[in-house]
Amino acid sequence: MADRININIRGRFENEALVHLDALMRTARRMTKSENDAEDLVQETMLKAYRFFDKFEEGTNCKAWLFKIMTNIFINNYRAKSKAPQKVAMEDINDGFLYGQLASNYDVKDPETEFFNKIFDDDVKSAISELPDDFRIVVVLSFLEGFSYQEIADITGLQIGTVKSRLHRGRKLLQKSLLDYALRHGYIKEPSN
Amino acid sequence: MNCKQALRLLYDVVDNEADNTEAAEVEQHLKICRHCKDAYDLEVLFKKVVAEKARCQTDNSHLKNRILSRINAIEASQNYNPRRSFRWFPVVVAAVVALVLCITASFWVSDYYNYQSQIGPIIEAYAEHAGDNTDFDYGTDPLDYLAGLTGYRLAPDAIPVQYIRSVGVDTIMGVEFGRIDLDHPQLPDRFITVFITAPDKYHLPGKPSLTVGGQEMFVHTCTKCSIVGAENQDIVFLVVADPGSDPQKLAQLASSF
Repeated sequence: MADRININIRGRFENEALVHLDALMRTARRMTKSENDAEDLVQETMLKAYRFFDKFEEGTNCKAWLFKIMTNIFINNYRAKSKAPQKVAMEDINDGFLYGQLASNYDVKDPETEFFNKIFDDDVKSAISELPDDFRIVVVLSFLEGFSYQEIADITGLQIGTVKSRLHRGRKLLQKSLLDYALRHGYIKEPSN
Repeated sequence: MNCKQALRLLYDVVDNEADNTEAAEVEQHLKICRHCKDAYDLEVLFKKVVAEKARCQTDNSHLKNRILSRINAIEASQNYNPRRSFRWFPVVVAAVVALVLCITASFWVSDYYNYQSQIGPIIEAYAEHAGDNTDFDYGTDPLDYLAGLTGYRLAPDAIPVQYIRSVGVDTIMGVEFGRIDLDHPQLPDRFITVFITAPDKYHLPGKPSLTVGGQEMFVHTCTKCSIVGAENQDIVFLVVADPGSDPQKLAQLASSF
């Protein structure tokens, strides 16, 4: 009897939870700084999920549940070194949007293709990894995994308003960072005047 | 909707969080405003490009296998049941058993006290009279005399008159008992006292455990005395004798009552 329950649990776990391994790994890579840390984080997440799989209500959002476990482990274990809230200088990012920045500050005719075609995958990854943890988590959950504000609030335990403002600021930091990259590597040029 | 309003909703729309009305109004505005349309398109593209470039699809099968083998190891090493890391069943069973034992024990204890409170005073009354029997001299049949005093009567000729040393009335536990002290040849070296009363005034303190001559009898033995008792429709009687008296003999003696 116990064996049969185990087999059922095991089967359900593989069908419902383990299928999200790639998504977890994708996000873990962006949350942590190294491939090893990412694998450790995902493994710990999966083992914990298996241990508490009876607490997971069948039919609810298994992916969000797994991400919640992973985010908790990440915040508790991998982020321990920097407990103090990270200060971000927001003043130097003006309130314009990416389009405004590109169109008005830089000498580009077609900002979309000019900018995006030249940026490398690694540039984006570095820019994300340089975001402060608080912003990086919500940006990754939203951009890479497509979670809604409400889902991100559930996963991180934050208020929905906090999720929104962190996403907003994270987005702007990321845009500024990528613009700087592009500028530094000569993908785009400073205004000629 | 003007540009300011449209741009305020920018991220809500890009992130699919705007409600239908807002999204429709923004869409209307974007049809007529090139500047806002470019800003929107760029943000959508930005989100898409970041997601694509930051998502490296790699083969995670080795990690999957590692996780599965860890799960196997955990299960194998401790016969692991993930459904119930805490097993309720034995705890519930233990609790039920403990509860049943407590209830049973409380019945035993209350039975014991009930028994003690009924048998103790009988023994005391017996001890009070045992040893100072005097020859009966009431000038009449002592059982008639006792029946006159109490209204309780043993069967005629139940006890030959020559064996009766004295009769009297004792109030024990608030119940009136007729008392008959005997020197009986069946137990020549024992003092014997028979207490009699009405069945509605006194109930035997335990279940019958001995059957003699078709009559079920209650038996008690302790270091102070031996008691055999029975009740019928008319009378309850307790035959009390010194410790060590054979209950079987007492019961045979009583079977004629």
